[in-house]
Amino acid sequence: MSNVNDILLSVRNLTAGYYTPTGGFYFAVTGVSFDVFKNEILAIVGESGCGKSTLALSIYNNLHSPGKVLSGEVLFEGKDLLKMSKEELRSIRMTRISFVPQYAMDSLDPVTKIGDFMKMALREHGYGELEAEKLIREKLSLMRLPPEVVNMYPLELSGGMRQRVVLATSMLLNPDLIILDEPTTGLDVIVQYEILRDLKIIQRKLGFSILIISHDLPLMMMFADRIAVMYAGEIVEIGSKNELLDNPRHPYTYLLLNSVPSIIKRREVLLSIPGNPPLLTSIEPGCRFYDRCPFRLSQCKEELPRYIKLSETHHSKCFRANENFSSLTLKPEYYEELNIGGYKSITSAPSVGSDGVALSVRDLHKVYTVWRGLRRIKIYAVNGVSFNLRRGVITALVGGSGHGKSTIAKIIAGIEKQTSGSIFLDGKDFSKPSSRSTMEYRSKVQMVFQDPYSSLDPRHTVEWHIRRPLIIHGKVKNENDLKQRVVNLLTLVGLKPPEKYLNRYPHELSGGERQRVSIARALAVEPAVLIADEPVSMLDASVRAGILNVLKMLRNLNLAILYITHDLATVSYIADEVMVIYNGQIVEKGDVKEVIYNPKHEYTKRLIEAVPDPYKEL
Amino acid sequence: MKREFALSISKVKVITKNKFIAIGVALLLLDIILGIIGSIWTPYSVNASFSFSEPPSWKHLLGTDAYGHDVLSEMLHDTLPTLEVGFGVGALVALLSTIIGLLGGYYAGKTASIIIDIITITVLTIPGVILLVVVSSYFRVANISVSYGITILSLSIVGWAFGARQIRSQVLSLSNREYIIASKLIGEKSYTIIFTQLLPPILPLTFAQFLFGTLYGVLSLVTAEFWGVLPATSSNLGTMLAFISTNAAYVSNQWWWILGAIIPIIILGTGIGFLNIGIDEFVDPRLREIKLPQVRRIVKIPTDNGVIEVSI
Repeated sequence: MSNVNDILLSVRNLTAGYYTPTGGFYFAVTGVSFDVFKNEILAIVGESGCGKSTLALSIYNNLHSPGKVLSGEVLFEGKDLLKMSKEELRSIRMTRISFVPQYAMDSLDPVTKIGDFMKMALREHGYGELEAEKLIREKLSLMRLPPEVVNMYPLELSGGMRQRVVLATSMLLNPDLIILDEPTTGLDVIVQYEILRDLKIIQRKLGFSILIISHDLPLMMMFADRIAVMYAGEIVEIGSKNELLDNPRHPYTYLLLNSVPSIIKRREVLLSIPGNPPLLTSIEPGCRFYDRCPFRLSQCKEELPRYIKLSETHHSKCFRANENFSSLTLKPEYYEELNIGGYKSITSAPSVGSDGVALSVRDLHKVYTVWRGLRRIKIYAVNGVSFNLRRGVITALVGGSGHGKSTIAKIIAGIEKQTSGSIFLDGKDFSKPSSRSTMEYRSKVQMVFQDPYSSLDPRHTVEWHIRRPLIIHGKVKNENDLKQRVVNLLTLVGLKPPEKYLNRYPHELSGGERQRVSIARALAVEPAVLIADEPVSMLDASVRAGILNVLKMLRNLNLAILYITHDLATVSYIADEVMVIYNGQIVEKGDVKEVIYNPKHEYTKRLIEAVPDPYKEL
Repeated sequence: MKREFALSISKVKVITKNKFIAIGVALLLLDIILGIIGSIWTPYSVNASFSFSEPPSWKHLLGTDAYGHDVLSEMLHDTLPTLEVGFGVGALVALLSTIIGLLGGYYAGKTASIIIDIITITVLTIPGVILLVVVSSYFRVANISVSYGITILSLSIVGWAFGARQIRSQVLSLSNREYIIASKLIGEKSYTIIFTQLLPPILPLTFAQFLFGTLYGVLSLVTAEFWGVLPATSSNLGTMLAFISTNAAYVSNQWWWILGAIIPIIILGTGIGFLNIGIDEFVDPRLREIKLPQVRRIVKIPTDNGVIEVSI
């Protein structure tokens, strides 16, 4: 496969970055070299900010000011794309190389019909009306879209269909290489699975190459032939899918792989990677992963490791690439072993005779009425849902987007009103929506939100966020006590040392750290019920496991946790009980292992099939 | 504490570095200084008479008007009262629009806020100058002259609505952010949320309301005076314009007289315009111009194929 004649595109020493408003320079990609072979899927995987999108933009020669490619070559059939004139580039784009930027599906012109949009692209390349129509029909059916789509507007299509339109457009002129930047972010798990599966079938049939950029290592393990792992502007390890999966030889890849839950190979403990990637405003001589690396040597700080060739296709940028990492010992912070010492009694004792049930929901309905002209249509977001949340138990609510998971969370949290149905907390009736905005209810039910970037007030410090609930709910007697409680809570959620975080503002924290603050704020109230609405879906893999471990540990505080997610793999790792929701109804519930390994309902089976898992093949 | 201090220093730096804000502040200060000078000292007494309608000369930098008064002295003398009305209206408009916008946005959907919305839309349709005319005609009937306080009040009463709409929509979107919902969930009181979490991010908008309120105040006052419908107690730039129009100075080509009446308004308007652009840049960093470094430096980047040098 690695025959020189098979090379389609090679990137050599690419260095690119952005000028900052203060006159500095931020390096996003530093000295990256790799080849894309013919008829293969190469995935570039890395966490946010590692430079993967900049890399894709630079390859397509589409990086605009304040971004700049500083050096390097992108050779396509012996010609350097970075040195081409605008006209030469135009003749190559779409016909030879296509690029689908991130969020392309949300950038379709809302007033242009899909067919006209696709024709516009073809007209640029000199195709006549008839020829264009034939090509469009052919590629739409390839992406399994009905031909009627050409006469529809983007708003009439679902997210998945829009993404299919975008992909079909990129294939119109049968290019040799398609560059995809995060093509499935924001899509439902099942939709994501189906699109990637179809894409892979088409790729195998037509034999073009795909360079795909993603943050999702398990998903790429399913989809790609080869994987390049990117960290802080460098490709730290590159190899075929199986080489990386069975034999990761860079500590970062090793830790990432051990940080993702899997249904097929269930893990007892997930590893997380403490710390944050370096900000590349200057280039240090040592290994970029040094600060977070569990296996670092003194030489790693002085000198940047070069690739060690492990096989014809497998290369790793680590001095210890020839060692077996699993035989090396890891420090406890990678296991996120949290000390809950003085926090045994954080929640109020369960009331007598409640058999551990903290919250119970009976026959919950939420109906939205929509007007279509003069007709009134009822939409059931939640349709007769009943369940119990028990203390010390993590109950997962699983389902794709739009099936009513978040609505249930909001109703229980007291943000929304239900249409009918009742809610009991410790046996007391809180069915009346106004009763759920009382201090009594709020002191018992708290919530952690999905988006860590909007759940903390950018104008207030970490300390302020934890102080407020402590003060409001009268948990502290004096200023010293308050300070101590804030420190304890931050320690509890794994922000160590807590003093370092007290006076920080949210923008100075990483996504994982923010989510921990968010959890600490909810815990400050000492609730009986904690609702976590997709708490890890927007986090990078390296910090995701940390949050999951925190949630898992919170169960020991006698807390009833409702964990809402679309990701069955994380459910199999942290939850005890699972409920599968489909079209507003709970279609299956029970013990986690029972449901995952022996699913009864069709929808559960589809969810399990679609969940990204490194040990699966698409 | 230290961090907050450092933050405020960097903000001050951004403000002084921003040339739009600097020019805007300078122009506003210039206008205020002109006004203050005029209230203490003028080249000639405002009532002193010279030969009529003289073009500018070294003796009279802006010439004399049809009554023989020195135009520069008149201009200086009339600036401060005009600015007082302007800033008064600006402050009141900013205050009213902020309070109403905050309440209307935060309680959106509730009965009280629907009432606020209806009032806002109603008020939006009443032009300030017209109300001023109505009020002043009432005063004229009662044979009392209209004080600047009444002028400020009647202009502000109908001037807040546009700003309130703007602030309301901003508050509406902020109120749906998760951190505000989280604050509600931990039991934070509404007024605490409004004053500690919603007010700070909209302060730049409040300031913009002050700027436009000021301009609106000055222009409305001048318009009303120009029409001669406002029996004012003292002279201001508007009364000056009124005399210009009664003497048809634009027909007899006495441009210096007109210039004298409008220079302070032009300075004010230009200053506010610059400030507004500057504040936009300050609030929205995306509008800030990114300067490429003048001096290039060489950075060495270690790669797998040896160290490469790039110039940035």
